[in-house]
Amino acid sequence: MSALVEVSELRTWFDARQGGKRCVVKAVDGVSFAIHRGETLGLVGESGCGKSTAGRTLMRFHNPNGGRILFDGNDITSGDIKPYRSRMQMVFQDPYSSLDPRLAIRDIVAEPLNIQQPKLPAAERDAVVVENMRLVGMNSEALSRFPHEFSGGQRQRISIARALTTNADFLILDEPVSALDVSIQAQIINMLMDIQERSGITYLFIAHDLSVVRHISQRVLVMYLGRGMESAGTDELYAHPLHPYTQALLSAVPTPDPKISRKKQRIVLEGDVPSPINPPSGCVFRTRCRYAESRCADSVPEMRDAGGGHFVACHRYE
Amino acid sequence: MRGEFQPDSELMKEYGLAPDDLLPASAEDKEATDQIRPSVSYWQDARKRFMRNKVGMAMLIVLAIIVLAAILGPMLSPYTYQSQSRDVRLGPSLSHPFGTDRLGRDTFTRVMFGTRVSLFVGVATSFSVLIIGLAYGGISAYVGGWADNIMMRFVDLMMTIPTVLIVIILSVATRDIFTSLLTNPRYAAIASMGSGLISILAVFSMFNWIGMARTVRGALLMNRSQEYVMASEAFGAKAGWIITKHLLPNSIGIIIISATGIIPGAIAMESFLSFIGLGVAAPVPSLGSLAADALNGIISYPLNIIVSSGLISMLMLSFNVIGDSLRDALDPRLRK
Repeated sequence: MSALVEVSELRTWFDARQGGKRCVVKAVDGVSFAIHRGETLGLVGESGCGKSTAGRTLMRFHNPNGGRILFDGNDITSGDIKPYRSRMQMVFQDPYSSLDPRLAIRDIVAEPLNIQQPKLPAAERDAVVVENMRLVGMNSEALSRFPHEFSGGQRQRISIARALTTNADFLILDEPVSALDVSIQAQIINMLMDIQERSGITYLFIAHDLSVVRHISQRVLVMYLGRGMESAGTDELYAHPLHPYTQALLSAVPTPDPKISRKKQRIVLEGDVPSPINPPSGCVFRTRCRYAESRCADSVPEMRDAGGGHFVACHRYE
Repeated sequence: MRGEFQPDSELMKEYGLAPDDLLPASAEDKEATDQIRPSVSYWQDARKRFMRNKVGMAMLIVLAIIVLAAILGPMLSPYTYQSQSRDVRLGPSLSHPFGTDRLGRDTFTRVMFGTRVSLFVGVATSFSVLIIGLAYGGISAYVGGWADNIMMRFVDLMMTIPTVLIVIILSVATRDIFTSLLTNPRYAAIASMGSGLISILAVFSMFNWIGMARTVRGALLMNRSQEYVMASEAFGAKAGWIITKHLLPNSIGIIIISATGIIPGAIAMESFLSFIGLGVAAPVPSLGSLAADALNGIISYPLNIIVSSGLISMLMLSFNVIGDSLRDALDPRLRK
């Protein structure tokens, strides 16, 4: 397995104003990961930790302020992104604002083709559209309808069908199921896994729901305040979380069985997430970490291999 | 996908069901449960909503009658708006449906010609405002940044100008300029409507585009931040594609609504200017100047003022009501 996407020390900063003073929001500040062909990397973290920004920077909706993005061996950190537009695609979180209300489903799903290959004969284009609608489990009778006639889950299927139209080999799924109810979430996730099994597509799955991520991902990267905290194979990470933040996150996952959940020890984090405008020195998590020591304030912990491909950025494992 | 559904035999026993009680649904059954509502596009939907609005439809018919009369009336009438006769201040009759005025001119012909003037001012102002507003608001929204900032501050500045006062001054001041321009025989058709009309049109456009530019900019910016635009960018769409396929179709409703809203205001303003004698120059009649003329005999001969002011009111009422029901039809979210 070779890496399809390699990201090293990615930084995305935004200019902002706070009380009239200019400042910099370090939304993503030094994140590294690699995604192998045909696998799913789960990117988890609280709201505002920079996971969506990281995904959008990969799509080059934002220009990175530092670091490097390699896609299939090509540096796409800067320069023309156009040649790669057909190979990487994104599915958005909100199925209500990601489909143009004035376009019929046929035109929505065909839009990437209409943009990228405007000379394609209509019959071939329709064939692709129908095939993709079938892939996501939608009837081709839906093609002449409009987005408002569909439910959130159906809209998300249409959105996925559109992303597949380009024959992308890399799909960034930005919280694709968090706006849907649980039974629909399962349908969409299983459908995504089906598609992956059949076509070998690579996913970056961004979510804050740990159980969903566990179901779909082979590996998981945990982010906090714009930095990577821990990354490991899914089973390893859920069984042996090393970073104190990951431990706290996992202890917060609700368990359907009350007998188990009563026994479970819940780690409650004190305080709020610090502002990304003025992050703590050293380890960004130290203000809420129960193991914090003096060295945590002095130096930034590096991502280190704690054995067996389990990476963690914490001074306790050095 | 999934294989044939197999009922759980234990569950069936529990509910006391025999194996034959549950049958797989036939293709016909499945089809029957599918939704049957035909798919409707935005415009079909909007038309249906508009037709359902009774007051709006009634006003549309009233307006259609007025427009037809204004176009055909002066053409079919045996009189022109300036032909005088000895039959002064006649009452309504078959040959003079609205009577004649103090110079023996046929009131019907004059009023219908004045309606033409009003309609022309309203529609032409709205159209030129639409063009200016689209260009200005579009550029402001698209370029963004400091250019947007400067352009919008200029709009704010324009808003502080007392419109009525400036319109009066400018429409008088620019009349001579347009009169000299219109001596060219090529513009004879426009010149026949009077140079005052052209200066009114120019001045109205100058002050009405502000609101339109803001509306256009707001609508474009609102749609610009939607995720479908971002998705379109992710497919490599160029600016032209995004504007024509996404931004304009999604903003067109609100733009049409505000363009319609300009018409009654312009009609009222033109009538007001003509009423105080600053609008369309005599002998070309305008509903406003007709009303002003009729003031002289208002007690002994009220028909003239009733007809002219009634038409102004009907025009404004119908355009306002149609604008409102258009808004309800095109943008159901704005409905109160």
